[in-house]
Amino acid sequence: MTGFRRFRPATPLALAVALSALTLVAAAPVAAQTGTITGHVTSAGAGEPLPSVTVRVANSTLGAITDAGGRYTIPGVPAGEQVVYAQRIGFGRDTARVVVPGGGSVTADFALRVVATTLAEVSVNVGYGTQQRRELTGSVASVSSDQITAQPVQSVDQALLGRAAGVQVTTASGAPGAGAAVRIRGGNSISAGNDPLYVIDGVPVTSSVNETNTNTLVTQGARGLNPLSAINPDDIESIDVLKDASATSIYGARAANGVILVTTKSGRRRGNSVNLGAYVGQSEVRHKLDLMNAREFATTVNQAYIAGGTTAPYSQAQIDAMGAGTDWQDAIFRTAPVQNYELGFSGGDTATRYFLSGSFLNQEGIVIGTNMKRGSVRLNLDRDVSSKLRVGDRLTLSRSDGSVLVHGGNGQETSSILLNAILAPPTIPVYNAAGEYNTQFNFLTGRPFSNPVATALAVTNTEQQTRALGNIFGEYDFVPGLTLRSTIGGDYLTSVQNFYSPNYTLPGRNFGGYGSRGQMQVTTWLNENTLHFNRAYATIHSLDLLGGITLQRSNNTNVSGTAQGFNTDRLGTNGLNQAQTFVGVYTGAPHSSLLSYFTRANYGLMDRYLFTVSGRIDGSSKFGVGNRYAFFPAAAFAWRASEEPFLKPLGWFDDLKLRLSTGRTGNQDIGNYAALATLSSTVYAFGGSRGIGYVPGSLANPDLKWETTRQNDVGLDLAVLGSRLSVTTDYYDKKTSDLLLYVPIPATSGFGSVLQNIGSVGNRGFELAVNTVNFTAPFTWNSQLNLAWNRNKVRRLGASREIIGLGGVGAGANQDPTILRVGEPTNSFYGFIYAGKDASGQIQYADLNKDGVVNGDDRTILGNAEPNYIGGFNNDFGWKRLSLSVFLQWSVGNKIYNINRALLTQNAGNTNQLRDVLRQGRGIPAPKTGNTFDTTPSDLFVEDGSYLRGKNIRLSYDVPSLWLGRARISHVDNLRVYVSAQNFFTSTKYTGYDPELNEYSSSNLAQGFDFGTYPQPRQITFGFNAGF
Amino acid sequence: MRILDNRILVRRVAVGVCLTAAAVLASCSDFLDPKPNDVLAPENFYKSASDAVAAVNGVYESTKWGHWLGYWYMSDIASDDIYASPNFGSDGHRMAEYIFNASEWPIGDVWGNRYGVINRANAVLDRVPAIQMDETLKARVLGEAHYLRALAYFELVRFYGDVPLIEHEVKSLANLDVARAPQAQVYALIVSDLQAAIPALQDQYSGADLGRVTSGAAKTLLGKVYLQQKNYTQAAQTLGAVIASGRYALNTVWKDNFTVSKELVNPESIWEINYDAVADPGSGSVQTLFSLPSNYPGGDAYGLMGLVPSLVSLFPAGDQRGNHGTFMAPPYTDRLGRVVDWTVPNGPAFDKYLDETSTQNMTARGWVQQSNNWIISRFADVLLMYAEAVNEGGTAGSMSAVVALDSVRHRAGLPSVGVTGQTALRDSIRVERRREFVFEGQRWNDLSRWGILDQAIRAKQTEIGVPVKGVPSNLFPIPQTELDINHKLTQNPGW
Repeated sequence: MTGFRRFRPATPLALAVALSALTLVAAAPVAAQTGTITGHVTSAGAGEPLPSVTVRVANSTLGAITDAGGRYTIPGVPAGEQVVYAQRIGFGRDTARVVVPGGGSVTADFALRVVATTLAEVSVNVGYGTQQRRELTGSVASVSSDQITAQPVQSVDQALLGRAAGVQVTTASGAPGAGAAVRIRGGNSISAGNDPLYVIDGVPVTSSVNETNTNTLVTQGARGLNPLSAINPDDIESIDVLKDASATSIYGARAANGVILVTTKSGRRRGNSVNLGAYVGQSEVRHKLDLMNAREFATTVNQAYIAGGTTAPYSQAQIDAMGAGTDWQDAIFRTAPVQNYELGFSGGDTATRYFLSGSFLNQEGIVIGTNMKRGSVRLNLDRDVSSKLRVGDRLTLSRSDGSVLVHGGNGQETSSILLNAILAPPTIPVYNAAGEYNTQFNFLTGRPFSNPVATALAVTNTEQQTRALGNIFGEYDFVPGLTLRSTIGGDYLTSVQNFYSPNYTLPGRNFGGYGSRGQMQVTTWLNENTLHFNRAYATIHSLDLLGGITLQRSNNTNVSGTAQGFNTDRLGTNGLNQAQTFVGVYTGAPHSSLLSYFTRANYGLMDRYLFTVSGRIDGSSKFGVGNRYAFFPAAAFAWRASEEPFLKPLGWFDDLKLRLSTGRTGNQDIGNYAALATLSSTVYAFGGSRGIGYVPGSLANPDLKWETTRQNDVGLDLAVLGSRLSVTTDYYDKKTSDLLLYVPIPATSGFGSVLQNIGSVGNRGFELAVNTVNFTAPFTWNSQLNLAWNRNKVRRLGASREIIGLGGVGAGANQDPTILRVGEPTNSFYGFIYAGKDASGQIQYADLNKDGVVNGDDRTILGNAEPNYIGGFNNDFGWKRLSLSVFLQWSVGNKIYNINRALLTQNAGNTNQLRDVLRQGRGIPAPKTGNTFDTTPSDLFVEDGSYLRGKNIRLSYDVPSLWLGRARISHVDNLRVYVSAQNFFTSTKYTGYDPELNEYSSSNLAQGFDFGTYPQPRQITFGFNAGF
Repeated sequence: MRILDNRILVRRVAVGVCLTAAAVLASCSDFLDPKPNDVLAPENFYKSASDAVAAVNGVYESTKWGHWLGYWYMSDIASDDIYASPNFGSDGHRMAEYIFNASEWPIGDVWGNRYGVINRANAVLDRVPAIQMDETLKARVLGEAHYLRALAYFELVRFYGDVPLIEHEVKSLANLDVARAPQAQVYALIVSDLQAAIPALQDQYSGADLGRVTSGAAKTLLGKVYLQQKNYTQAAQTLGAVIASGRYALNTVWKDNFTVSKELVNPESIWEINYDAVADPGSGSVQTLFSLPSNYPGGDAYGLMGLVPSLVSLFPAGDQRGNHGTFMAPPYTDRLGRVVDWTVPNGPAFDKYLDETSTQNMTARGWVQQSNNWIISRFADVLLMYAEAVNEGGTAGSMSAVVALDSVRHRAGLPSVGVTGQTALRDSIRVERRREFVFEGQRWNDLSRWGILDQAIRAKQTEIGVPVKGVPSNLFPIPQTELDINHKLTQNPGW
């Protein structure tokens, strides 16, 4: 194929044009007589006009939506007898039969009856198209805009927490702009990514915090703001989560972890509306840890030194004079304000719809010096160029500006604010007599004191992300039911990261100031072309065919520079060129591309038997030459039993559907050059100059390929009692094979580990979602409950049965309490079992294998971070103008490995400790310098992480228009005011700050660690929404 | 579904679809070719003289990480010279008290690093010969790779005994499990590597080549290898030739060996691992951070280790290497007039690597921000090895064993040794080596070579008050991580 000319970005357009031209020729229009259907839709009983009702001509793609007056017009309807139906969420569907005169007009009016909302009527985004939920054969969970905006959250992933069965969201931390680990039906992978694919208005986007990492920020994994926070949650119309293979296989090699489709709002055909919203509030830490005061601390230090054979450093007189000392937790935590403003315009005329919005968020963090600001604008346009051609765009621009928690792992050098705050001696004041930060030598550690307040306030650790994301599209109907859609999408994400430590704080103190700036620019372009055919034949067959081709390329350009030794700190990272020493400059430009073909066929027989077959061929640049293309097929069948003649007349079921699906999907989320042999560059100084070297950096693996996940799903959808009770339940079984795993290879090769397709992981589980309408007017009460049980198991690990310590966890000195073992879940903790204390009060561990020595062979699995089940329960109450929503969310059976506790009970006389240590209870060693108990992983640090949390409670009131008139607020159509509390109560046995945490959020092996992790705040907000 | 599994079919379908679109789309395989534009690949490297030099530069880089932390944990902290202070982590305590096992990180770190050096050197030795370039320079580059590979294997064989012998670059995932080769075979390669290096290397370098290995460095290492093999004849002959060459001399001031500004250019220096935190920031050394007493002003000073009291008392008054040389005692007044007192370690602390003329050492000590070199060979070592070889039966050249020993003593400020007889002289040489090379990577190897490791460790365990267990073996264990994945490996007896 090398004979063809090289690919140029212009060609996708050419392709789209060529495809269009080809298809135009093939589908030459046939002249036929047409007429128009018009009508008026009202509510049955009250007779009020109903806007936003979809009126469609059966067996065609023709249709319209009613305007504010309930009127509609459908031109171009083929002459003859036609069946027309009208439907709107919250109303029963109504059907009319009319005879359309050629060249004339006929009227069809409808009166719709109010019914409980049935999910079956909701339109669901299934990727490259939408379907009515009743037509679905796969497993798709949906979250509506009401649920998304019910809480003051900053990003899409957080909005999903507790809202959809089988979607586990573990927020990394409570820091403003933090990301979350989203796991759909458990984690499939070990070394490759486990995050789902996010597709925003059709554009698969960069969602991983790793993508923007330039190794500049000093924070967990050097990762800063969550790129998903670029999407303003208020712009979102709906989120659809594709879960089973039938639903996801259309996304092929990126679909194994599930797909999250985000659809943003678009305008309506008639009128204009303006919406203004704002909220303000404040947040605070849930509780503080009970730590020693100065007097208690000094006494314990003395005991430790004496036990260690040295003299006590504090005299009794000194101790007596100490008092409580510094409360470092009070010094770094604060009550933090938040404010958010939204302004949106939407509307349109018969041919054009628009949605224009802007927003501004300013969220201060509960730890001093942390915050995030975000501004975003969005413009979504749709234009009917002719009755056959539609064009439009979905475009957002956003800018996030954050100050990130300085958090570099273990306490001293790297200045982790939270760790230092809990470990700092209360004997040291924040400021010295001269009013400067105390950073003097700390004789207890042998190092300068890393003052957390100085780190928080004087160290710069910021990130600015600018993102432009969107697409332009055109749709052309060749004949009714045959549509070509062509999209050019783009995602431009740039991140600028700054770290500067002045010469009076660590680490800058050692270098006369230390600064670093990194910039990352990720440009992704995408061209998609789909041909969609949708046709019903009589009332027996319906057919929906989709075929498409897509090209995607991602180019990443990055640069970072580090310098040290500055005459002045005043310029910070803006004066790196004025440094005495240039530490280094790094530039890179990785890229990847994907070329894919996909197809999907939905066939419905008598509206009762639904079949779906889909498949995608993906070609990816990330894999070995021998495995560049892969095929991901899926098939599904659904039986709508409620439509069967023997059930329908009974009227028991509003919906009863059995779903079966099977298929394969892939995971290609690995580095760009993992299959190639590359050289690494090195530096060695010869005679004061830099001798650059090149050495073998990685071994080639030409057989490297996708992970493949096979998934089977059985589901049941049920709605009874006039849809007042509806249930969706699924059982699934997933097996991931050809696992991409960094397998340690013998070090005698000169390499440590190599990415190989080895091993297998299984996930199976059960999901249940129940929606009920408990009471209807005047007092209304609706509930939504979702529960999910997932069992994760390592099935194979190549030649080995277990791999210890792959998690990269820095628990104390070089101890990594993680294990992968065949037959156990992936996030298992591994270590010793506490067996009491010896005569000197030091910790003893159990000799599990009874060989007389306690050594590495006595370690065992101490539990795992996987919950037994998770759930969410939302209740919406309404009475007249008041509405109350209460959202509970829980996780049961997951364990947390609490490294904070290990450090805070070490009792080695060098850092502050929990007050529990004074009581010398279970698992607390006697004070002694050199105690290394914290570095020994054991069950003493494994805690029950189960929690039940009042995630959100919100009380709102619709202000009567009469009042608005009296208050002379003209033009305001509606006004809602509310008060909302986030994390308003938490029930847990976990002893740390907060159980909802995930220090190593992006690790697949080390979930559930607390290690100076930024706790989730409690938050209360007041706000309003006004419509004009 | 089975047929869909067939990857070839899939590729044909893909290529077929691609071909139909090809008229407008151009080449699919081009579009998907990863062709990195920000990293080099082996196929487009190893073409020129500068590629050859860069390839061997990369081997040096690995020695930098191979002679710090993990290496000292084994070569010095696990010897009878050093104890771990309360500030040291549990790993340091286990090494110092000799209660570590095969899972201890330095055991695997040193092993892995040496094979990293070996693979890089093998890449040079495999690929550079085919490059069209100046033959003298090519020979030098190959000589450097031979020396560095020999050093890595020598350090491996001394610590671990029989080790896998890998002589070519590893390029694929096949056959990675390699069994241990007998020590004799490993030594044969070391000797042949050094013999190949000696004529190819230059006697000295200057400018931007200063710090490359010299023929003198290769001869010195060869002498050391012979001594380790108890081949006293060839050891005495080889080391005698280094002495007779007249290239090297003892520094009058012993501390000059550890003075940053005199590194590599002082007359005693033969070869050093060059840490330069100015030219190579972020990759400097950390000896001062680890060994200075906790409280020492001017940056980081962890106070992790102390000298066992019996070592401190081994230095007579007036020995340059004692107080203000190898160690300092609190309170200490330094060159900047600062009076320093400390409690960790409790008593004398290391002074050896503190260069009081270095601004970095005195006022800006930070992690990997120091330029203190790690000495591989210096002339005092040549003299003492020569004395040992001659005393154990090697033939003396122009210098006697006693004269060689005395020259080291006189420089330190001690009188002539004044003993006769092989046994008495052996004891004197051993004491002198201990005093001369504290924390220079020699002690554990010396104890092991002399076969007195167990008794020395027992004496230390008694002295520092920990359970007296001695040593399980005269060798270190094979790393557990390596045994777990390479099933052809066996563990050393006793571990």
